[in-house]
Parts: sequence; C-alpha cells; structure tokens
Amino acid sequence: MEHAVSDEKQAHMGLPLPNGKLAMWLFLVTEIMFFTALIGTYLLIRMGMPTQSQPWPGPKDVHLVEAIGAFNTFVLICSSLTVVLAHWSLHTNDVRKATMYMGITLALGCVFLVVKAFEYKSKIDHQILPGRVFEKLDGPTGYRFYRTVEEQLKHIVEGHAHASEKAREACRKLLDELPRLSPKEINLRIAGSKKVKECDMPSGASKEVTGILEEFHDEDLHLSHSIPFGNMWASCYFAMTGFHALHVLGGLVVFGVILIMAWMGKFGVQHLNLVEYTGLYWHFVDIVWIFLFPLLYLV
Amino acid sequence: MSEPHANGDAHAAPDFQTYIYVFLALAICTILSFAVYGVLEGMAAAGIIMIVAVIKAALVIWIFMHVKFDWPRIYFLIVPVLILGVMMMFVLLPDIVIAWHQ
Amino acid sequence: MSSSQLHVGEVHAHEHHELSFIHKYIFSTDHKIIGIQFLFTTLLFLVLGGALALLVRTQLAWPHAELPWISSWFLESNGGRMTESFYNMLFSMHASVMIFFVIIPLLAGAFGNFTIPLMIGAPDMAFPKLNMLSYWFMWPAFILILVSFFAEGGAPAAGWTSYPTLASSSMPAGQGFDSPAAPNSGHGQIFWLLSLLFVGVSSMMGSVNYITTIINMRSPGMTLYRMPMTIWALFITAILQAFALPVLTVALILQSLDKLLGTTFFLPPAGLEFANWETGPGGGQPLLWQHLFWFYSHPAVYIMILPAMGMVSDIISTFARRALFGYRAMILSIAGIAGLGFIVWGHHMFQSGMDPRLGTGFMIATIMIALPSAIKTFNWLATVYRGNVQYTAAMLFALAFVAMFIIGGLSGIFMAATPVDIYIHDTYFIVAHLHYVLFSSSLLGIFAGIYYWFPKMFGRLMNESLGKLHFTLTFIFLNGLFFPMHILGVAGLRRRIPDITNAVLESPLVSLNQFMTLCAFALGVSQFIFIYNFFYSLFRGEVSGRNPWHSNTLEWVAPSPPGHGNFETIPVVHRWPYDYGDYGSIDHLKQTDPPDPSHPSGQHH
Repeated sequence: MEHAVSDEKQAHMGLPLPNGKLAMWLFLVTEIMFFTALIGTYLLIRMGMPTQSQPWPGPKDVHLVEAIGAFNTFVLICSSLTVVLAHWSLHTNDVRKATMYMGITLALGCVFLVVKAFEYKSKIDHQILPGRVFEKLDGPTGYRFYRTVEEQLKHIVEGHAHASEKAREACRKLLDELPRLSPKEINLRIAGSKKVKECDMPSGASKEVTGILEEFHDEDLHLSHSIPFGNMWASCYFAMTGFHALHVLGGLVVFGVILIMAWMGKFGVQHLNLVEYTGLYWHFVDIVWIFLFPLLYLV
Repeated sequence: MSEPHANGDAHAAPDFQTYIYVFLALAICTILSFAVYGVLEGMAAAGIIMIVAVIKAALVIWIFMHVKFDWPRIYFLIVPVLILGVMMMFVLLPDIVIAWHQ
Repeated sequence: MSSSQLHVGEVHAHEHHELSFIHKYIFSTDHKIIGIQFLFTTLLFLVLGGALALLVRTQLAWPHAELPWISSWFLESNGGRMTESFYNMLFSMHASVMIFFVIIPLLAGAFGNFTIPLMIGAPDMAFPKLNMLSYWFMWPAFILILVSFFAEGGAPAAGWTSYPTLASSSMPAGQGFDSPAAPNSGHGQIFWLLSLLFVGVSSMMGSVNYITTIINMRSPGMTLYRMPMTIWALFITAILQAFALPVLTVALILQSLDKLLGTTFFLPPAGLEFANWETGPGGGQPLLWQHLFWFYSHPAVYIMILPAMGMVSDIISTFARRALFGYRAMILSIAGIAGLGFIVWGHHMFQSGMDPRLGTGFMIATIMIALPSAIKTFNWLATVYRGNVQYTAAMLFALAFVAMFIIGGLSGIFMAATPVDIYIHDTYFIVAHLHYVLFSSSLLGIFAGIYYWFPKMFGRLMNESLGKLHFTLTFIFLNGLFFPMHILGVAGLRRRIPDITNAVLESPLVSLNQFMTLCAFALGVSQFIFIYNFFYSLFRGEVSGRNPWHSNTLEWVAPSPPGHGNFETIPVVHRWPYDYGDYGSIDHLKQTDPPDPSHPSGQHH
C-alpha cells in the first residue's frame, strides 16, 4: 500500500501507553478526587468548628492508640514493597516468586484489616460511634446520659465487668450519689477535671476532682463521658477509615483472584500488566493511608 | 481489552536494590514522624509530620508507581488533579474555617 | 510501532460467531447498541420529566382549581387540590430526572457511545465490557428513582439540590430515616441518594472508557487536530466528569451516612430544635454540602451543554457546506469553558452567606466564561455566513440552538454579577436562564443530533417534513413558555412556590402563567410528532445510503447501520473534517480522501 504523502509518517496514534495503564491512572485520578473531598471535609470541619472551650478530641479522649496506627502504616508500607517486588519478579520471569510476593501482600493486607477491626471494636466498646457520643449534657441529652451511666455503674457494681475491687467500690459510691448530681457533675466525677473540657464544666465547680476513669486505668471500665465534637470525630473517623478499608478489601479481592489463578496454574508472565495495574491501585491505597494516619492519629 | 498497537511500556524499571532502599526510607520516615509526635507539640509538630507524609507519598509515587519513568506520558493526568484538589480545599478556607469563628 | 503500517488496508480478521439475541441486543458489548439503549431509555425518562413539568405548570396556572382526573390522588380535605409537599416533590423530581436521567445520559451515554468509535475510526471502545457495565449500572439507578415515587412519604421534595438540614435531618440523630424532619426526606430521599450514586459510578466508568478510547484508539492519520468537534467536546466532557463526579459521590455518601448512621457532617454543632423535639448535638456544617454539591453540579451544567455544542458545530458545518470557522479557537474555547467551570461553583451560593471576598472571586471567574462562549457563538455565525445552507430538520435545530444559547447565555451574565443575583436569585429569572440553556439549547441540540445520526443508527431517514413541523411548533411554544419567565422573574415571582396568589406582589402574574402553561401543553403535544416520526421511520423510513448528508466525518464511511467492527477496512485519515464547499466541482472532501494538491485542505496549521 502506497503512503506517498510525506506527512503521513504517523501511523500509530495515541500515547505509548497501554490502554489498561491509561485507564488505571484515570481511575486513580477519580479516586484522588474522592479522597480529596473526604479528607478535605475532615480538614475543613476540624479547622473551622472547634473552639477554645470546645476543642477537637485528642487521641486519648477517643481511645485511639497511635502506636497501633503506626504499626498499620508499617504493614501497608511492607505490602507496597511486596507488591512491587511481585511485579519485578514477573518481569524477570520468576512466576513462583511473584506468586509468593502476591501471597505475602494479601497476608499483610489481611493483617491491616484485622488490626483495623480490633481498633473499631475498642470504639464500639466505648460507644464512640456517630450519633452515640454524649456531648452537651443539657436537656434530654443530659437525662439520657444519666440513665446510661446508671446502667453502666450497675453493670460494674454487680460484678459483670472485670473491674478491680477498688474500682467497684468507687462506682458503688457514685451510684449511691447519682440521684443528687446533675449530669455535668456526674461527667466530672467520671472523667476528672483534667479531662473535662471547659464547656462541660458544671457551674461553680473549681475543685480538682479525680475522676473514676483517671484513678482506675481499667480498660474494662466502660463509663460514658462527654466528648465535645465526639460525634463529629466519630463521623469523620469511621467515614475516612471505613472507605479506606473498603478500598483495601477491594484490592485484596483482586489479589485473591490472582492467587486462585496461580493455584490453578493459569498465572504467568502474560499477566505482567495485570500485576502492574493492581500494584498501582495498591500503592494508591497505601498513599491514602500515609495521609490518613498523621491526619487522624498524630496532628 | 483490544490493544491494536504494540505500545512500548516503560523500558527502564528500578531494580531490587532501589526498591529495598525506598522501603527503608519509608520505614525511617514513619518512625521519624512518630518520634516527632512524641517530642514536639502544636503547629511545629504538625508541620513536620505532614511534610514527612508528603515525602513518603512522593517516594511511593515516583519509584513504586514507576512515575519516574512514565512521567512524560501521564503528567497531564496527575498535575491538574493535584491543582484541583489543593485549590478546592484552599478556596473553602474562608467560608468554612474563618467565617465560622466570626 | 511500525508494524501497524503493514496492516493498514487489510481486512480485519474477525471471528464471525453468531451471538444470541440476548448477547446481541440486551447484554451487548457493541458501543452502537449500548448507545441506542441509552437513547431509548433516556427518551422514556424525558416523557416522565415532561409529565412532571406539566403538572407543575398546571398548579402554577390554576392554583385553586380542582384538577380533572388526577384530583383523586389528592386529599379530599384539601379540596382535591395539590398539597404543597406534592408540589415540592414535583419540581424536585422534574429537575432530578431531567438532569441525571435525560440530558446527561443522552449526551454522554447515547451520543458519546454511538459516535466516538465511529468518528475516530475505531472498531469499538477501548473496554467494551466496561461499556456494557456502565449502561447496566444505570438500571439500579432507574429503578431506585422510580421506586422513590412510591416510597413512604413520597419522592424527595427538598429540591434537586437536596440541601441539608431539610433533606437530611432525622429525629433524634442516629435514629435513621424512619422519623425524618420533612416527610419526603425519609425513604424517598435515601432512594434518591442511592440512585444518584449509581448514576455517578456509571458515568465515571463511561468517562474512563471514552478518554482511553479517544487518546489511544484513533485510526491512522487521525491526529488530535483532525478530530471532529463532536469528539473534542465529548473528550473534554469526559474529563470534566472524571474530575468532578467523585466530589458529588462524597457529598451523596456523607448525606446518606447522616441519614442512615446518624453521622453529623451536616448537622450544626448545637443540633436542631423543633417545636416538640430536638436532634442531638452535631458538629458539622450545612454549608459544606452546598460546596461539595455545587463543585460537581456546576461542571455538570457544562457536561450538559458541551457535547451539544460539539455536535452542533459539526451539523452546522455540514449543512452550511462550509468549513467550521476557527477550529482551533473552538477547541480552546471548549477547554476554557471546562477549565473555568471548575472555579465558579460559588455563583450558585451567592445568597448563602458566604464570605464576600470569595463571592467576588467567583463572580469574576463566572463573568469570564462569557468570553469563550461568545467566541463559539461568533464562530458558528461565521460558519453559516455566506454558506450554501440546506435547511434540513437537523440544521434548523442546530441553528435554533445557537440562537437560544445566545439568550440563555445573556441571561447568565446578569446572574453572574453578584449584586444583580441578590435580587434575582430564586426567582423565575433563574428558571428562565436554566431552561433556555437546558431545553432550548441542550435539548434542541439533542434533537439535531437525533435527526442527523438517525440514518447512521438505523439505516433509514426520518421524515423531513414532519421534522420541520416538529421544529416549528417546538420552537414557537418553547419561546412562549420560557421567555415570559424572564419578565416574571424581574417582576419578583419566586421559584418553588405552589400558590402565587398568596402574595400581593405575585398574584397579578397568574394570567401570564396561564398563557405559559397553555404553551407548555402545546409543547408537550408537539413532541408526539417527533415520537410518531421516530417510530414510523424506524420501520418504514426511506432507506438511507451510507452518507445521506454528504458529510466528511468518518462515521459516514461505514455502512448504515455499521456492522460489528464498524468499518470494512481501517480508515486512513488524510484530512480534517471540514473540507466543504469551495472546491469548484467537488462539493466536499471526506476525511479519508487522499490529499490532492489541486484541492488543498482548508485546515491552516
């Protein structure tokens, strides 16, 4: 076929980039916008809403352990390494090694999710859930707080919680005095003056009160107390880490499929591109966590 | 997936050692930010920790995601989205952050 | 890379296996079928959206009348008249259906799918199965939005903009959607939110597919600057969708979480207090929803017009037998409109109490969008000027697009200026603007596209006389319906009010509303001409050849309708699409016609 015309040298149109890679990057662009909106929401609310008297909860207020978050960060970084090594092994035609690295990545991803579940459990145990955190102990909320604390104290006093004898004694004392105390005073007695924020201080209370939770560091003493912006914190925390975890799960499903293919003997060097694109997605998930960890746990 | 043209993929790729070095750098950065958190307080700590986070993300993007080699082919995707994302947050600062305090 | 040169001109070796009916027409991966699927389903929703609009207009014209037949739907205690919440539901659902289930899927889904591979010379989209998924993901959306009408409390009535805390709060926080603040914002609102999430996912899948296809699957010789305007417009629209939709997704998810799980993203810190109950404490910001929502919804309005602009450019150039004036400027203008479109969302919120400094920024950027829009308008006019114009139905609709867009665009400049917007916000002036750009522009552009590409889709021509009649009646009645809205708006008629006789300022305006409602019904009836024409021509229309319009673009090289794989041989492109007219004895030079020194291309590099 004659191509006599000189300006027809371009017979190959398009970018020197496979369709799949271009599509995966486009997908990641949409994901970047998704997480930007989500993280942006968190940043804007956190920077805009809290005040001096009503500050944003710190990790200690909401039972968040920074070390666990750091461990999870490390787990994901390792998994990023192993997934890129899986690609590298396949590049050097070592299918067995690639399969092994993929397996390790899957395992590390599962570890991440298990640790996350453990963290979620601690929030659930302490009722730090959206809509369930006590804030502003006035009016009907105050009354609900009173009833909830009454139930919790009874639970401890009757020996159903694994509390020390001294803790039970303190709880019994509080339970006896409960009808005479206002919700804010109850809150003060539970959390202690060091922990209760200015907006929740009962009027006329200038005393230094050591709260039950302060005195007895029992993890099983599940006593509610007021956490200003606690509902907002829980909303942001669960929305951000929840969607991140869903994305992790999605990645794990793909890894699972690849491992099943390998087990059936159908995984090979021809899947180099698939492994690369899955790796790209996994690195993105890692990067989101690299930002979520400091934003939620550290700053 | 129909790929009618034999598109050349990244001809260069990092080697095993580079990956390990980057991994070690990431691990050190994580430990560093955790240490800063324990030692410093307030805006200084926040600033350092976030800068470290950006460095970690940049390392993952540049090396693990092969962007170092693919940059001329995909910069047109990454640059606008970063501008858009950052801009969106900055534009909302007056409205949501500053206005509320008034 | 040079191996493809050897294959140019060779026949595609296709496996010609017979597909079952289900695989061929229902779960098809062929972009043409998927495009036609989008076309049919969205035209059905157009009828629904139109019916809702007619009900709205009836209420506005005769606020106290007992309506024939449908009064049995309404409470006896209300005298068989529409209740206010029913009216709210009508306009909310009219807008939601028209925006998310008609205009966007028609332009991006139907025309995008059908035209893109054909106009760039590709056998199909880059990811045919993903394409099929993107259509079928619309079905949960369709079902959810239809089911919302029958939900407890009815379909959403908080406006298509669904602002919290009206749309989102429930009593008390954390109790879910069984006790919503407003009756319609319970189950109905949840269905609306979920439905739009499915639409968003479908659109994002489509965008990824379109962008990849346009970048990587053009046939040899089809450089970016030889693509027709339709493709440029669809390309930039797809980019807009990819960047903006995720933010809407976040907004919808956050409101869903607020309703389902009792999160507090949009509940103010003090909570809400009503007469007999109060929500729990919040901590969030209702204004945040507005920002997140409009960050998507402003680019959405450009998504709803840019493809129509692209199609109209090609149609005008074809029927004026003239090269498109200012091809590069047209492309840059589309890019400019899209780019600027990302930084103007605040102009929907001038009345929200936002910081005036922010408002000024938005105002300036919004006014700037007039510039590329004007460039495009002048270029269309310059294309038609001194052309050998053929007034086919498609051309009539395309020309009307330009004229109506001028009106819609001009009214837009009024509201771009914040001081003016403070006066006309939430009046009928805004309603006039949006209907001029959506109905009188986008929908007329869509009709133009249907008349233009019907022969390619179905191998038959639509009846031209009926098409011209459809055009004439539609044009007259839409102007009769929408133009007076400008006047009403400046006179002070507020939008979203069911009974305007309550207000002293507004009650004299009822008679004009009655005139408009009559025009609306006439407009609705006129569309039956189109429906008849469409279905009649589908089965009994005159068989069209490959290229009934003697157009240059690649899709006219393929058979009508194109078979599997679209082209018999891969088309090699030598020209831009606009070599019309000035070639002496030769009327037009198709994109595949080889270069000829005696007939140089009109494209200036």
